[in-house]
Amino acid sequence: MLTFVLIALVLHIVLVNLAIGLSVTIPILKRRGEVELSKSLMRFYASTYGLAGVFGTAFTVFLLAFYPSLIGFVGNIAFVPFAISILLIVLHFLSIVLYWYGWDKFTPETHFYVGMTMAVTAVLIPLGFRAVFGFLNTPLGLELQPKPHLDVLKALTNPTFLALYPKSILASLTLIFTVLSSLRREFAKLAMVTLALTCVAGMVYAETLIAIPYKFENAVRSPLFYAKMVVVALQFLALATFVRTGRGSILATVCAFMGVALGELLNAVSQYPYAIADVSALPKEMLGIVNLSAQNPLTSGLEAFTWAFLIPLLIASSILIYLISEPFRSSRTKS
Amino acid sequence: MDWASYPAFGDRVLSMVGIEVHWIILQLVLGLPLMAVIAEILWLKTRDERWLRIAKTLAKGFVMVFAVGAAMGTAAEFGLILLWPNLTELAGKYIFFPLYAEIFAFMMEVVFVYMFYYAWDKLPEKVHVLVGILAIIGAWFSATMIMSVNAYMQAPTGILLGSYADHFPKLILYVPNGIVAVLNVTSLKAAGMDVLGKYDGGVIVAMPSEIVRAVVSDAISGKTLHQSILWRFVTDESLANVSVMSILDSIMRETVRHEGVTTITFKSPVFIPSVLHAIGSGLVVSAFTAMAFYGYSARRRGRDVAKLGFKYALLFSLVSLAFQGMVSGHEMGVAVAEWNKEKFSAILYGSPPIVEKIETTLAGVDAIGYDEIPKWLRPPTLIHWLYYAKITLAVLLGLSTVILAYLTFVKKREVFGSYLLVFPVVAQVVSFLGWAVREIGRKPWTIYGVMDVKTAHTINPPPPYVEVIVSVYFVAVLSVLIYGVYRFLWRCEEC
Repeated sequence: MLTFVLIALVLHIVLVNLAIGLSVTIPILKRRGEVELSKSLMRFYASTYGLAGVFGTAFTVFLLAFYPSLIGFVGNIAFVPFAISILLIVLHFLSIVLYWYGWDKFTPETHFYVGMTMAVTAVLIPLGFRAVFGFLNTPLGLELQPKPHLDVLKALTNPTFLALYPKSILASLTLIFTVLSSLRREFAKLAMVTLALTCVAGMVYAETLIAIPYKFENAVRSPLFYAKMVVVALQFLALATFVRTGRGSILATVCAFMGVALGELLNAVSQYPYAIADVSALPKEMLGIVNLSAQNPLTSGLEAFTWAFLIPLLIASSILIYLISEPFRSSRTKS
Repeated sequence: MDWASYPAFGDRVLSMVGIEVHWIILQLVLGLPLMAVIAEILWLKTRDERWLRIAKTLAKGFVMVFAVGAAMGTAAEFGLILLWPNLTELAGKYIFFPLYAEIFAFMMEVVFVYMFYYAWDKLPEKVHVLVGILAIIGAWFSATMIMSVNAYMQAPTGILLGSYADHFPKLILYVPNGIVAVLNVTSLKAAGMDVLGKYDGGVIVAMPSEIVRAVVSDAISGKTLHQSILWRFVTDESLANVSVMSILDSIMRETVRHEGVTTITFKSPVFIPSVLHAIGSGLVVSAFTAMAFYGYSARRRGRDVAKLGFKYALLFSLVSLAFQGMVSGHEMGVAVAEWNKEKFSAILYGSPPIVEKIETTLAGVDAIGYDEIPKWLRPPTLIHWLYYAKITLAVLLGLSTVILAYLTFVKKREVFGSYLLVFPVVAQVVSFLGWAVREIGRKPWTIYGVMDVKTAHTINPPPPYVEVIVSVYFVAVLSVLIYGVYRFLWRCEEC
């Protein structure tokens, strides 16, 4: 079942990174006069963004079924960060609908502002979720008296959150710029810049994790860490080659996707089996709640059901992406 | 009793607004795909291009609203986690299966709904119809899973009803031998517990809901045995510091294992009518929405395709309304009368004797007097008004539809006009009122006989101004979506 949850997490994160990047670049591309390209990308985005949401929901429901006490605890204290993200998701989805279906119907100015709403909400949605991820690194802001609650302002000063959020946004931009470099070579240079910035942000994030030795040591010892380093180096080299020779964009794109997936896996796996990495900051009675090795005993036996549905649906999702990306693929061939 | 007097009023209203916005939209995803697929099949049979255009327009309709509906579903899901985390925790522990299965239903919906619309010309015709059928299955599968949990919350599997004097309602529980050994069975029997028999590993009992809800409340608030209502039934004093949650977990896991981990919610006695009624509601709302759209379009542009679409949607409205009123609605009413006696009593509260007689005759059961219900079990009497407002509007909707059908199909008159917009609005209001009766009428319970509202509620509720802002935000999002659908679909020249 761990495989399932990791698949769901990785697909969610990869698709969300793509979504953030597309949301930011599409309205800007259109504004710059690249109407055909931006419309092809928007058509792709409008028909596939739901998949990102599905895998996010899958991840949440998996946690609910397998670790219900953890969800109960988080639900009782984390209203503010989750509410911020959820309200923005609703607005983001609405802006996608208005932007896509209003393509030739709004005035250019109105359409641009709808697009900007799509871009801004996409960038802000991870704010709440990454704040929760920061909390899962170290529970800064958790107050137990007079009842368990979250001091939101304190939680927002969590150094791991402050480093993780900009890193996530930069990684999204790197991904989309790398993908688009195969269509417009100038994106490769942008991708190199944002990749370099992501590496700096990554180092800052790693620095903040030193204060959580359990996670930091697991991370730097993990093969995923070294795989990520290799993939990032390859991506950089492939982009540089592409800028000079026009070759290497496929390798760069593959590396960009792998880099995002490996980074998220590394972040998740390096604190296993704890949902909150800095267990030293928790009272003893809470250790059972955050220990992910103790799952809901009633969930045993779900494997066959899970795979029986998941495999055909993953195949169907791939077919959907293949069918929808046809104009995008032909555009690449032309370029 | 006054609806506002039950705990967590503000968060109940916020949940109601969030879920209702989700439901307003998702009903269209339950019905429009079926209408689109039937239209596409009619096109394949007749090769009349008008049917293809109708199928494509209906598909555009549900694809446009689907995204925001799904986003509101995510909002509703997180709303449950954040406002009712203790309910979510218990659901996750014991009745997680339909929620887990819903992941795959949702995945089916997303993949096939989008494939149906965006890959229309990229798939062979018959494969495309199959994709449409899979989109319908995804949407209905999703509704079935969610409604099974909701049905369990209305009437949990193992609930027993009877005289209040004999401590009913009671819940069938499987108590492991290890726990039976430390309980004073005589005291429990005096408190209303019945021993129903034995199973391999323990004893089957019918436990009064009054005790069950107190134990659930104690478990959620982290109490130990000596702080709990259970303490007076425990014979071994060395267990004073054992957590109530661990006892509850042991008993509930045994109960769920015996009832069926994957089937427990589907065994709720109100499950089947609940699912049929929800899907029926989606069909009715979708049909009236399509009817109003084509009626409006036919009046503006007078095209043949709009006239055909109007007739198709009108016929669909008539059939779905008949199903909803005479089959699923009736079965739902019977199930409520039989399994939610307090709700049935509150619905009838203050009704003239003739109305009460009709209702009890239709349901085939006698109603208990509202004043006979112990105060701690009484639902709000507001549902009496909501229910009769719903019935009145539904009857008016039905009669108006019959008249429209008579004028259209028998008298061959053209009845198009903007006034048709009233039909989907009334259908949505009827649907909302029915849902409000169902949910408000479950009070004071969150899970009938198991968990009350106060226990389910978060320990850190948001301040009232946040509840107001978020509610207004959801309504604003819905309003903008409606405007978008009006601007990009209803006024669409080529549709």
